[in-house]
Amino acid sequence: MQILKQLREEGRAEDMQALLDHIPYAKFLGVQVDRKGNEVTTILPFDEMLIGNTTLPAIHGGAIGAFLELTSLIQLLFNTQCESLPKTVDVSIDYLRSGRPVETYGRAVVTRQGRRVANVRAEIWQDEFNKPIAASHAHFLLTPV
Amino acid sequence: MRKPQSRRRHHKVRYFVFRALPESFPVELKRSNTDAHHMAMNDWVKFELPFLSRDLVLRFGADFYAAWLTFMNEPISGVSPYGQAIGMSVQDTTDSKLTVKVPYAAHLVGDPDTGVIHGGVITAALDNASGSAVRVSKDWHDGLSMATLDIRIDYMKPATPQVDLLVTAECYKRTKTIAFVRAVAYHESEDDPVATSVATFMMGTLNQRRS
Repeated sequence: MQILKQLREEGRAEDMQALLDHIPYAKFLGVQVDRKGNEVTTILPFDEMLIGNTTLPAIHGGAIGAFLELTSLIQLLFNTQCESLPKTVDVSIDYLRSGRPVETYGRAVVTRQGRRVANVRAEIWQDEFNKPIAASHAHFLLTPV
Repeated sequence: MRKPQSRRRHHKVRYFVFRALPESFPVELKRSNTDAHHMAMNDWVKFELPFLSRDLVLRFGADFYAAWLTFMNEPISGVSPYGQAIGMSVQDTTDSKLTVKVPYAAHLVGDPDTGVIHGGVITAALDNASGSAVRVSKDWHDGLSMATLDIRIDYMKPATPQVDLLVTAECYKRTKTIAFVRAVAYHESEDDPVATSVATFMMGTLNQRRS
């Protein structure tokens, strides 16, 4: 079953929450989407499971990486129609602050989109948008419709 | 006064258990670096405890000893909650090199059409293995703490569904404050990688519980 095709046929190509509900790993992390107009914000609710450092406590770097990647993916699929889910070519993650055990928000910008490759920048923050806890730059391989 | 019979019989049972036990058990003890940034790695040190095993049985009984042995050999207690959630475990450790295993699981799938695991799982495994590689490297001491500065990951090919993922990380350079680590994620051989990464870690950052 082609999930993107199915959503397109149902006329829900822009319903990112429906897409996330079909990705087991996104469901496992509990990632949600908040859409206001054409602005998409991803939300990662805090869960004990996400902890990487129990002393601080701080969210695991891997969970942060996964959230950044999902944020980029969602923004990319929101902007473009794809045949199948874009494949990640590479990700470069900068950890800027430690993730506190609260809700995390993410925004991504598609900096350049070609026919086959897209460059996406993403930032995630907790209390203040101006104080990001991590930023990433990723390349995705696309399969245009 | 006459001693109760049951007590003596109990002692006999204890002695029987004592005789049945081997002289020593290989017991894996956890190293006590609880304050480091990456708790996900369960670095265990093998210990032979020739005296403790018999002593514990005699003092507290076989049941207690069995429970104690299970507790000491429990590998999951050294893994961070997130590491546990994705099923990560440390396979092999040599000086400054370390291998981590992530078994394939349905909840880790990123593409429901193909069943390929999500890139975030690979990110987590690479990040974790890299951090652990610093901690097993020479001159590491438990007072040090560590934070990831950055990680760059290249995905070479999609991971094969239904197959476990292995990650081997190597800390190839360490300065006073920065550690440089490269890591490879693969299925069978490091020569056929699923993903590779380069990461830098900063050491000696404060690691205290926030108020």
